[in-house]
Amino acid sequence: MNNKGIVGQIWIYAGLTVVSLGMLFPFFWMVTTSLKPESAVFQFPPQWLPNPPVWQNYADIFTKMPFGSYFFNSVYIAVIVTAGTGLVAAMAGYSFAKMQYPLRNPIFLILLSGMMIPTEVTAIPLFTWMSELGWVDTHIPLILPPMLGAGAIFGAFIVRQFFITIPDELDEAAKLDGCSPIQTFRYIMLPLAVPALATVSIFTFLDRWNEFFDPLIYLNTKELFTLPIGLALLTTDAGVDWPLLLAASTVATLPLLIVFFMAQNKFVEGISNTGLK
Amino acid sequence: MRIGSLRRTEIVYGYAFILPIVLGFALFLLGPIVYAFIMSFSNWSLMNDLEFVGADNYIRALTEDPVLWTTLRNTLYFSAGMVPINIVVALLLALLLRRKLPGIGLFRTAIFTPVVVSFVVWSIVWKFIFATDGGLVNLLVRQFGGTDIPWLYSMTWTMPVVILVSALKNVGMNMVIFLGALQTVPTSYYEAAKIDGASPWKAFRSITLPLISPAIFLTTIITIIGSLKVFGQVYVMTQGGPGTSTYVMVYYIYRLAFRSFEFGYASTIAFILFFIILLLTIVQWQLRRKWVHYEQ
Amino acid sequence: MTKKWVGITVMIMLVSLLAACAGGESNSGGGNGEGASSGNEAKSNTDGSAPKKDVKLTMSVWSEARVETYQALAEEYKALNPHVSVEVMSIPFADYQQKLSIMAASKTAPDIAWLAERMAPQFLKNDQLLDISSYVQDDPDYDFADIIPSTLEIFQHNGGLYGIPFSTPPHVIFYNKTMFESKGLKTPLELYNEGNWTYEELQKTAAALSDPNQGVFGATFGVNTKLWSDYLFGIVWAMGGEVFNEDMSAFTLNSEIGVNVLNYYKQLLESRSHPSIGSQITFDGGKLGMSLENVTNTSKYRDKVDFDWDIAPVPTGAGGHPVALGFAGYSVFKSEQQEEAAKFIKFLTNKENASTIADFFVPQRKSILTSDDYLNLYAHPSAETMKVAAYDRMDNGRIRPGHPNWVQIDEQIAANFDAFLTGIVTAEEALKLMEQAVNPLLK
Repeated sequence: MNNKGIVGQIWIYAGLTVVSLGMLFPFFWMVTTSLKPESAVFQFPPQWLPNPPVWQNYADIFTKMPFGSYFFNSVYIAVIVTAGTGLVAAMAGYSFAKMQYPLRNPIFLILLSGMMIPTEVTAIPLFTWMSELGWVDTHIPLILPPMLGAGAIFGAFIVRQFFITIPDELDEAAKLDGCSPIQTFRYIMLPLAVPALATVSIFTFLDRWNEFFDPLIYLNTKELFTLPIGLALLTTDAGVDWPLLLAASTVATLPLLIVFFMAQNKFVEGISNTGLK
Repeated sequence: MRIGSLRRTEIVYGYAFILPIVLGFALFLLGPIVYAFIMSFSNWSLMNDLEFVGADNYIRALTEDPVLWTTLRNTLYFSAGMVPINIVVALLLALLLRRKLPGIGLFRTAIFTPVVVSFVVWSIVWKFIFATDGGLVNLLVRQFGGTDIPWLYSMTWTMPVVILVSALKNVGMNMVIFLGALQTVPTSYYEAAKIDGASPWKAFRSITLPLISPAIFLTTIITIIGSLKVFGQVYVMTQGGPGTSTYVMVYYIYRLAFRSFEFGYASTIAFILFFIILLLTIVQWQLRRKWVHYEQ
Repeated sequence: MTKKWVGITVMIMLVSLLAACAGGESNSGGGNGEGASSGNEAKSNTDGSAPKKDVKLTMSVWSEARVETYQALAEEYKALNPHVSVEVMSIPFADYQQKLSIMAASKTAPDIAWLAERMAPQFLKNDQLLDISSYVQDDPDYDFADIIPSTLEIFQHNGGLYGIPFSTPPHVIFYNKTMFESKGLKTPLELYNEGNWTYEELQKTAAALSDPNQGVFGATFGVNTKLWSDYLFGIVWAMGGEVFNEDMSAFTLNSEIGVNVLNYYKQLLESRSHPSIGSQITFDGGKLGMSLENVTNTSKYRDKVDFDWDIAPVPTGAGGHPVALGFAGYSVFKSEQQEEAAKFIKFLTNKENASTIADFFVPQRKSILTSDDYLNLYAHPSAETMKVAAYDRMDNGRIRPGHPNWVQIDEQIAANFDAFLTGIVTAEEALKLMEQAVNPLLK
């Protein structure tokens, strides 16, 4: 019995090791190739480790393409949308959970149905409206609609579910102490909602950092590109070599991977606790 | 009257707090979808004057657009390949990973890693691995005496490659949701099953599966809907090619709207996609009664 | 107009709906409408206030590397015309026409744009370009007659002139001399001088150079079937065929020559003498024997690669020795600042500046193209080779045709080309399918 248990465990470890290595292999291959000279890339038999590593590829990504702008654009758009969505979702979630007013629940349900609308259907009208406002080839369409759209509704849902678990007495006490609704929200409720907001932020940030469709249709000039779009267009632009492209991919991926490895429990718990159970 | 004024204040603030999100809903979701629906009956384009054409677009889509049928077939192929692989693998991994063994967290992290990576980067790396001339897969094929296979330029192989790459990307996400669900299954149930002499397979079928069926149901819906909206990996890895062999719904909408600028017809196709998703969701919701063990 | 009207109706419907739910917010939607119109006012204000007011022109190019060149010229122009500043932006080539179309439709088009031959017809048809003939034709200093007339054809439309070309580079064969020497093979230039430089010879040479297991390939015409027009036209012409008829009203490649061309290309691929479709291999990596490219790429490789290379003319065939010319020109999009934009184009294409930018491009002015200064600008490739491989060939040069429906035509041909190369259909079938799909689009 015990022996069987150990053998079983070894099998589990072996299986998991194979799967994990499979999942991590693309990253390994990305990083090692990014350090090879172009001539060694398609060598047969394959060169597993770069020898010697060519660090020049990493310098080149900043001179051969506006990689710095790509990076900056991606970061600032994702940060603004994440902060904005968090605030909008927190306000709405609090209001839906704790405040009493006519038609509160019907409005909430109508909003939730909005999450069903595929962005592909709304993309075309939004695009033409944005273009009539002269906002094509600016970052506004990448910031405003996501900040207030389906992502915010999803966030409001999570925050509302969270606030419902908080006893009403807290709210009442604040009111009796003469806090205005804004003060109650700002100084009592918002700090309490940090775990829920962390989950919302993780989702929003991941979503925006990786967003591809919107920048693809809205952005024209290279200097305004975000990372995914800058990288994707390199694959269709002639004359960019693989090591350079993979070096850029590595730098684009690294910040998120670092954050993820540092806070992986938060990520995983955030996802498994979002009411999906 | 103090109570009354407090009450009024609450009403005003209540509405004020949801104002941004309601405005966002109206301007960025409801408005566009109503507008798109109206426009799906027009020849709306970047180039022409607007004219309403009745149901012509829908008739064209259903009767005289071979690319749409190819696209639907491809999308179905993609879903039918990607969803089962994704769900089964995620469930298997979750079952393995729920044991409290030393170092298990490392594996969980490793398998979840692709989830945080951009689809674009993930696709670029795999495009490189599957390159025809000297990509890693073909180097291995050669090592075993085979000849190079054009993985990403083949009517046979390209779609399976795209399916595999997509399934691997998000397997970690579903795995984590299953892990969360598995934690809610009380261990006492298993102990009871063990005492009754039930085999592990039997225990899985009669305890685990029913209890986590809501989670399986939900992830399946989400994964199916996600698979109907696949775009980034197709754009990066194949551009719909070779020919139209990897055209999927969203890619076709993108081509129609932002390459040929046929906004009206693209809206029509977008609505067909929307109806398909809606229908699927309703059907699944109906099935849920039979399929899912309990309902709150 | 109707478009806007429907939009406004939907907005009003929504706003009234909202007003019903959340009383007192009814002016929010109106505010949005005002936002739209005040945006337009702001735009017209910039042109309507003072005389000789400041003008800010935008210019789009598809080459990141040339942005600086134009910024420098813009500085010079500003010194002469202090009220005009120019901002240069780059848009990737793969999306260039698509992006410009959207910008033009939403009235945010750049004032001045690089256009390639296949892009011009669409914008001409939609009446989005400015006729600039009055700005350039009558000024003796500008010397309009100096511009090679055949290069102007793309921009001539209903008696007007809608752009000035700045580069018409012929295709040439770049070859890796080091690789030829190590294999002991005759180079394309040697074969040409012997009068034996044909497509069959290219195929044989490519096979001899290739070593696919080491990632070495003899020749490439192109590896992206979506860009078929970059390389197939030249081969078709050389073999004596035509892709379209004279007035662009019919697809004419469904012929024996068409079958031969498709099979020729497929044989190169299948014999592994040519890198696979989708390959990212480029000439500067040193693993390509020969590569069909624009002669302007000499500036891309000069002093930048660690092997010896040179250029040769494209091979000859039954159709003689025609050569496909690349094409790029400047056009002005209609707007309130179109006059200033047209003047800036005139400045860019005058004799002095045309010769400045001719460092990178093949100039459209006879006086520059034939000048010793230009021919001897760089030591490598030699002036003699440049003449033989490129400039002498320009008399047989042909610019590829365009069409207002080019985007769709292009897509149809590419899709059937794919079906052929992946073995779904034969060459005959593919060409027939192309004909069926393309002919209606040409009407």
